[in-house]
Amino acid sequence: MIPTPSTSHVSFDRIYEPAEDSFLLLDTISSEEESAWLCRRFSKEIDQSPLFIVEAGTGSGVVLAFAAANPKEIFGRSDVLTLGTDVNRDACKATRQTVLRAVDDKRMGYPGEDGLFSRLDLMPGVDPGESGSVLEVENAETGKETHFLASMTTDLCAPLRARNVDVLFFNPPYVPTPDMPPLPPPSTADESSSMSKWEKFERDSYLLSLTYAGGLDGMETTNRLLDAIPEVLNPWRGVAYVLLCGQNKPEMVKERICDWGGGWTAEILGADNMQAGWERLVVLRICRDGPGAASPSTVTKG
Amino acid sequence: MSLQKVLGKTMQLDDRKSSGEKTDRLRRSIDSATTIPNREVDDLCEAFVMRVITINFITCAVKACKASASSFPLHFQDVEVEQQEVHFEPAFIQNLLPRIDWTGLRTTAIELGFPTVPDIKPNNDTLDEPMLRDLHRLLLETQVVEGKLVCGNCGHEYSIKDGIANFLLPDHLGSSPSLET
Repeated sequence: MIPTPSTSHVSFDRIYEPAEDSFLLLDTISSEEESAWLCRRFSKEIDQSPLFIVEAGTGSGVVLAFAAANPKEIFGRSDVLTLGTDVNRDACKATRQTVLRAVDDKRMGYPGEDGLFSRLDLMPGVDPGESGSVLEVENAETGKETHFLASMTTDLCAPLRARNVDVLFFNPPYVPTPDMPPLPPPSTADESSSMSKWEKFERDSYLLSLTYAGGLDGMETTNRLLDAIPEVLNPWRGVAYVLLCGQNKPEMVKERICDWGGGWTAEILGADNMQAGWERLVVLRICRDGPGAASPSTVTKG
Repeated sequence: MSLQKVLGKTMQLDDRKSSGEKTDRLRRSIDSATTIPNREVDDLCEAFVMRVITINFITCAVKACKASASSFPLHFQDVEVEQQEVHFEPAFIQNLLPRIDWTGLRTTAIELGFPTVPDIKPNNDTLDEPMLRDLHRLLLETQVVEGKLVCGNCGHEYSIKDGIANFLLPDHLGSSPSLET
């Protein structure tokens, strides 16, 4: 198992703490079957241009960090550009730290937070005294072509240029709620230190509500993201992973996407191993698979 | 009420954790509770800001501007930049070029006082190492710390503070249906 990126520096008072939904996303994209699919889709033989990977609503940034630190294992190549968005400025700060730490951990050969085994255990004959340097050499390529571009305070994909995103991750606020919290106005993105305890509590509660409250069927925010997908994804090789819970009616969401036409399809992944608890979590993979999809991108050299 | 809802997304997950099912995901959740020492990278994070290449992937957040050519590139104003050394990988820059909007990059380069970006996008015959190094320096090593991004179509200004650009829109420009409730 690829280690979970560290989020020990993140304050979870007002940022969503990585939980089973986040981990399902990590396990899904790094599963043998899925990464084989991704490696085929993003083969350098088809298109050499580096992957542009975006996570909308990063929270702690654990999913984006996982992809940024392990692109070779997941996508079969190490040349990736990553960018995160969140409506919460604190989450933006947390994300860049989580991503940079994860990439650095990988490069330094840290075993990560499993603590269960280090890669060293799998390399018999290596003197533990020298092991650090061996791992550094092994992972020397990590981080050289992995560039974190920015964290931006924004609603979903609002400022993204059309047809550029190769991989989009979204772990939405998916819990059905009677109403939706409004998006924060631009000014709230700036820190205010003069808050009373009660104001701070109110503000933290509000920011946390943005991480889970999904409105009708838990789908109000997710629907807005789905609407943006045909516009922001690279039409040739782009793929989006969106987490859903049972109450979001994943089968219906899937059908709706297939009705978009233009070769858009959706697959439900990770359904068979998530049956515990009262809610079923799945990952929806959305991409264009019609004629011409996953062939050389529209951009050409020169 | 709101606190109870806060627990909503996590409580369902806690239920599952306590069910004792040993899955990879459970292992992940336990592991993420442990801490490892902070290292120099945390200092780096403090200084880390927005790379210039970001400008190639963004445009005005106002929906009505998307169709207008003048909404790209966003224009840098009153910026403070920093240089941060990044490992130079010539092949990476070369493979990145097809993704770069050259006219846009020229505009950005001029705004940032970068004189060396050629008028015409280099092709594989005209690309040489000094040019790749220049592009590397502009796209990856130059970081915007403070300043503004301005839309050439609607004139809206997006502030950049500590390298984090703020694209949240005021109510009258936003597109979120939730704002009406």
